[in-house]
Amino acid sequence: VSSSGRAPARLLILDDDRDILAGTRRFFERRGYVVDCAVERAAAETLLAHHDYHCLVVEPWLDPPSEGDHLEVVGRFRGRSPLAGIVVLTGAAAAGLEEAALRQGADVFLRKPQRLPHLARIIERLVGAQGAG
Amino acid sequence: MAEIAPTLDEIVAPGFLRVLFQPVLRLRFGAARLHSVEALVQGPSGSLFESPALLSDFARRKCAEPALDRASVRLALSAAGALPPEVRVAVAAHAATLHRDLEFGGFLCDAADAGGIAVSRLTLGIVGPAPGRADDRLREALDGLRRVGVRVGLDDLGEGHSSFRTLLDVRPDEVKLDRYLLGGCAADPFRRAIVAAIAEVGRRFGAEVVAEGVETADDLAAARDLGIELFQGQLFFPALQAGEYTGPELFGGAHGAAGAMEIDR
Repeated sequence: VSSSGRAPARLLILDDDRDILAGTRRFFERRGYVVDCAVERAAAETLLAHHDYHCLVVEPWLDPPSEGDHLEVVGRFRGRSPLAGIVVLTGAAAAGLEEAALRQGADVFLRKPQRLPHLARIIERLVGAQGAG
Repeated sequence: MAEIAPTLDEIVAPGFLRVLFQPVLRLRFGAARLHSVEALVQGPSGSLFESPALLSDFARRKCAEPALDRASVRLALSAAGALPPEVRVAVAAHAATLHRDLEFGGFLCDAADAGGIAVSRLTLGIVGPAPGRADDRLREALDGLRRVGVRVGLDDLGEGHSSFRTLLDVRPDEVKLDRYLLGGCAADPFRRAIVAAIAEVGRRFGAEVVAEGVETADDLAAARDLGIELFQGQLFFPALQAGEYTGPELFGGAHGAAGAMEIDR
């Protein structure tokens, strides 16, 4: 993603599973992304307040849970980063989540597990739409 | 550098935070004296959470300002023992910490004692915002610290979280003019207007104004013309390890000033 000479695209991944974070981060770093990770919402929100990201990959259902509606985090991220691509990647199984996530401002809703190359194609499309990477 | 953001427990655990000390100089009648040194507590160099502003923001979101402040103060005052023995040492705490952590004043004095720093050498720089609900707890905590000789400062006035309300609540002995306001003030009459206003507010409050983030001689001259005497910034000295203050080259040619500097009392 940095072969064009532009600054590499920057991703923020929020998930409470450190194994998922480590694997996803390694995968995208090998493809030229800068990848920051957070295991809790407050850390992700702090990073969003201080850095610009091209794409956010968000698991709204965290352990321990944040206060309030889980999907509200997507709306908050959307408010903070109007131009970033937002992918909700969740292990939650309830019905109606996709519609609710999209309503909060997510661009894409995916259920775990997902193959990383598939996630990469989606992120490339979202990042490419911003002229970055 | 990409990484996983630390949790609060990881941040306050020993070994995560590091501290540097930056001099504050008093420039008067052509002479420079060492007024104080400010402890700058940061995350690991090059890490996502290196910036003190980001650490503060995270603590605020977690409502964990007391935990961060205690860890920062403990680290700063344990390292401050290596500073010259008379110099004033400034450490920071959030207004929310003094409002919520009723033992913080005692903790600060104990930490100073453990580090071999007399309490009368301490300045506590308050970081806004003021607690949401108006009551007397912040004022009482600050009065208690003043009674034992701690000087009270207000950090970053005019930018971010330190507002005029915080100024009123804290009634500081010393006010830090935020670097955003000072940078470029020589060439910008609007910035200069704000610097002049804060200098005047400082005079009326009986508080000394410290201009931080001084990077050019022109901005320094502009601030001095407005009556400011206390300065801190890259134009003079970068932040240093505590031990670097007592080396043979103390404030010598390596950092651009001539000769060792007297301490401002």
